[in-house]
Amino acid sequence: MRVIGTGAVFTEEVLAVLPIGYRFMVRVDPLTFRENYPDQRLSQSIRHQSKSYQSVGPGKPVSHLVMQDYLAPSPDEH
Amino acid sequence: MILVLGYDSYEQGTDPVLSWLLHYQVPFLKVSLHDLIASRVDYYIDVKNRDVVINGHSIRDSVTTIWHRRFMGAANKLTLPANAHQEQLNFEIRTEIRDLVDYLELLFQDKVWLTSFHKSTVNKLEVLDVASRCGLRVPHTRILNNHSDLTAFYHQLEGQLITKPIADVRGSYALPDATAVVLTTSINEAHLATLPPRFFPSLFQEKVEVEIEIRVFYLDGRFFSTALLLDGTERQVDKKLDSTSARAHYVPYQLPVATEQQLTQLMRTMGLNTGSIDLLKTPADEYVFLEVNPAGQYLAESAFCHYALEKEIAEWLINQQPA
Repeated sequence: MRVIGTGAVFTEEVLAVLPIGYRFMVRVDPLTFRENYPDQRLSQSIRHQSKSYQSVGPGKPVSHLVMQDYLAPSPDEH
Repeated sequence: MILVLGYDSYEQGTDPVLSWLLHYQVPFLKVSLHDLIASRVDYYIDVKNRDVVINGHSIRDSVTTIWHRRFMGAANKLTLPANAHQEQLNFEIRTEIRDLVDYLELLFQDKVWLTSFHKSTVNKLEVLDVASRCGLRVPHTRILNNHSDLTAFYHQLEGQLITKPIADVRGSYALPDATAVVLTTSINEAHLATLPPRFFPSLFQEKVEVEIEIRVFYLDGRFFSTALLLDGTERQVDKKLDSTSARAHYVPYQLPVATEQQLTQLMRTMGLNTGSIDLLKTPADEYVFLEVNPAGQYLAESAFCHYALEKEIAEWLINQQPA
């Protein structure tokens, strides 16, 4: 994460009813915030029944498993 | 059969395990909260006969093992169409869902669970208390609501103080040019000068001197530990800020047997058979327990250390099946 600033994003009125941590929030470059998955494509699995895949997991092979072996063919291949 | 209770969409800790279940050609059924509430699957729950029938098929006896991971997360994001009574309706519908899911847990209580519903989140303060009683060193922690007590605690700890959320629910806030997050924050004199006399109860904790940060993936008595090593001496108080740095290196780590025994006792006392545990190792070779997340993310450590944790979880689930 690339930090581009710190400080509250809420008004003092709101901060008055929030825990102290909200006064010292960290502002991060959205493109470096990993939970946004800014640069990843998750997968295209049809067989998982998942609706909104957007990226793949591990970036390097950790097993002998080859994803193409168990992914369903794409509709174009039918 | 394995019943997987998870997100409707991709979830990085769930789907790689399903890949392995597919690979091993093990029958499993994945059900999301949306499957239950969005009227897209025909099912009924027969209270008299204690059965669940999906698309005409009873799963009461065929399910032997249940893997529950972040299933209820969707309920928190559930919002009904805008109307004059939306807040009240949201509350009532979430309560309906909660009771429905609670009953399903009761119905399947004789199954083998990998994290039951009521253990999907734990109370950070309770865990610190239990960890301490299990012999683990934990940071000195207080919940404070006023400047006077905070200042006294700050001086007692010689300025080595952090604040962080009590609960593990803080998300991120999208701003036009940034993403804002609440992280673990060091408290200093300048911070103290800006705080009001009284404030919302907040967690303050001793800032432990760190040599190595350790993330442990625990699975039914087995430990897969990863050390975060940093080039140089600079270190952020929240490891999230260092985790993707080029200075960060992840290596497998062997905890002392005594520490593993204490952590096992902690997990058993908490009724957890899996979880991601955060520890700090001090320059004095002490291990300090910070927290455990029953449904923490593990894929990064799995990949960096070649632990193949997604495969380990899949094989654990398969091994619970009757021969």
